[in-house]
Amino acid sequence: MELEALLVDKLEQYFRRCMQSLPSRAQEEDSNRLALVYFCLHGLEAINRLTLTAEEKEKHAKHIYEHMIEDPRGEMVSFRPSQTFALPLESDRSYDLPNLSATFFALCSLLALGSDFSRILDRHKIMRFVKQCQHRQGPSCGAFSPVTGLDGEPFGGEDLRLCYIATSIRKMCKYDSMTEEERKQRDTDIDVDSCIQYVLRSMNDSGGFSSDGWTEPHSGLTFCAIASLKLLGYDFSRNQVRFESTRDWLVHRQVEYPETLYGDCDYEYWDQADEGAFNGRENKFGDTCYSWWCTASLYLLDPVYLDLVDLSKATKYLLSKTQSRLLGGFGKNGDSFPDPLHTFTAIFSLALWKTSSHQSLHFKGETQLQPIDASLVISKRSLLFLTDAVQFDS
Amino acid sequence: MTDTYNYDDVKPVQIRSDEPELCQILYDDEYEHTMGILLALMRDKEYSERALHITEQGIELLASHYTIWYYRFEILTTLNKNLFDELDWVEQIALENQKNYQIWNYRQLLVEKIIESGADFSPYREYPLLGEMLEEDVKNHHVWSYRKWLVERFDLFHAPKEVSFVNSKIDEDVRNNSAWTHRHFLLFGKPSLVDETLVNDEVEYVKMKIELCPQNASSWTYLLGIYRRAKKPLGELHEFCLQFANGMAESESTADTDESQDKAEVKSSFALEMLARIYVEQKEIAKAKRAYTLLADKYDPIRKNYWEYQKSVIV
Repeated sequence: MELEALLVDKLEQYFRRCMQSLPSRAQEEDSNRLALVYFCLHGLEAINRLTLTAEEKEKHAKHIYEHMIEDPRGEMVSFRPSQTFALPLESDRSYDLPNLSATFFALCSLLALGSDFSRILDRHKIMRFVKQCQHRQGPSCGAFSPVTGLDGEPFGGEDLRLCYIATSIRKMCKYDSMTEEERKQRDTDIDVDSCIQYVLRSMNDSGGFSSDGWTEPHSGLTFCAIASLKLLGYDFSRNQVRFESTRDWLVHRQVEYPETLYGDCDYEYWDQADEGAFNGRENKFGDTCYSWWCTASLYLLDPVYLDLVDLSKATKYLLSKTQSRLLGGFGKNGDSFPDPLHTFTAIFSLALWKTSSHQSLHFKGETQLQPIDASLVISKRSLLFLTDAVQFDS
Repeated sequence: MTDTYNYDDVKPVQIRSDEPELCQILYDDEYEHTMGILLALMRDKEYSERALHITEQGIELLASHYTIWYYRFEILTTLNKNLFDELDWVEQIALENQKNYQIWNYRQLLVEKIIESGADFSPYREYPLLGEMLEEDVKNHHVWSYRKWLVERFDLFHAPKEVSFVNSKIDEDVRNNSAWTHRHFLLFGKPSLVDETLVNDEVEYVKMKIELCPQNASSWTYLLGIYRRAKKPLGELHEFCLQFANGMAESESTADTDESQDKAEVKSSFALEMLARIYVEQKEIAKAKRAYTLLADKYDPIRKNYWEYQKSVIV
């Protein structure tokens, strides 16, 4: 199959524009500012175009460290999502609430910038904050909330996304390689068992994951569940039959509407143009980002599962339907403007398929794609930096 | 916008940085002003009517910022505000911004506080809002999740009103997966209410819906879900599936050949998949392979590799 080109130069320009400044309509993303930074930095890394000078890297890293929040008692360290929410120094800063997601995006971004955060951050203080976000009782026992309030208690809806974020932070703090004894002694680790139990409870009968096992399964939440378990060292073969149903559910998320069964595709949530795309739920439209959530989940369950879906059609959908030839970048679907999240997930999907599947996918620009890590969702180069350069003294 | 309350004495906190920042957002004046005042009042821990008002402005501009919701709730508690009024306010915000999902968790928090205070709370109070929200987007995940929470919190399992609601949603759109998922929870979520009659009635119900629209993942998933929970043998569905896959039972000898494919007349890939499972269970290997071949080559070719894999693991 003839595939369109990955427009690497345009992509680079797109990310560089976003990194420089965003129009005022991006205000509604102000609470995701560090996420935008993460998408741009790792997106550029994945196409081998993160070409910053040492000076620029240092400057950007310094900017990210400015988002750091230390609690008044000096026990916890976290990040805020945007400098907009920084309260003036020397004032009562209680309403500068520490934010779990922002902490994840900050650490990932620092890795891309080659900043060894073990020199600057006390990992045990970060983990104390993560632990503080975890629910210790009730129906959501084991789950995490997005922020902690003035009383230090978790606030805001908990779900699998935050489990994923918490387990990723734990990985970046290298708690997974600490001895059992040390973890117990410190008392700053999350309750891993209750977290695993929460994730397993969220599996729906159909194999997909949802907010609590009985609501509608969703590809994005399924990725968060699988990646959380992976990061916590869970062995999927312990529950083989159930995770095979997860695999089957994920494989069925790829869409195509053969005329012999679908006729003229006369349903408002079906679109012939989605061929090759993945959807988030049954009988819904395809969307660029689900290419990532679905195939990365399959890959994490078992790398060979990647070859159960049609990556040639999946690639075609991204390159010829959702890639913007004019602006560079990828949109949610063929009718949307590009945005950092969808551009990032498209590139990461292509990079995963290119480097990890056995299917033959050839398109112009492919050689630029770099290996990525599917569980932390960062470039392999950043992962190596974490493994080799980031060394905590205690 | 903010003229009902006076903020003249409040010096807004400056949110615009002088230094260029990564992913700098070019804030407009309204955003800068509102956020600036909000931050100043939060810094001063001001719990007042005007503070409450500015949180509304803030939430309208940036609903995804949890701190504003938290601050708002602290103000309400401190001023001892009527929580039913707050529910009305949330309703307005929900209807104005369909994508705002923070409100549902906030609403749960309010309902819990109301119950805690000893006041009466009827879950049916929520129905008009939920109905209206689903009018806008009938598959809104957050609205359905909230509805699921209501069923659980107020023990509405099998409640006639809820059953007739979910019936109507399935009647409106038989492919609405959210509605089918809700039905599954409503009827099977409380094991003590599940008996053979219910199982049989639901199998009949879903079969009828499948006949109406055979190529529908949602109804087949529901059917399979019942069978799994009730631990019923899938073989019972053999005859039922065959009506959507004519010719599948015949020509065993020509299984897996092009010739046999031509005779099959398939109306549903899901029926074919179910048949393949049944044949695997019953060790009818040739038939199972034939079903997988039909899926791979004709009825669901995008999953060709998957069907070939399923075929290869039949023992």
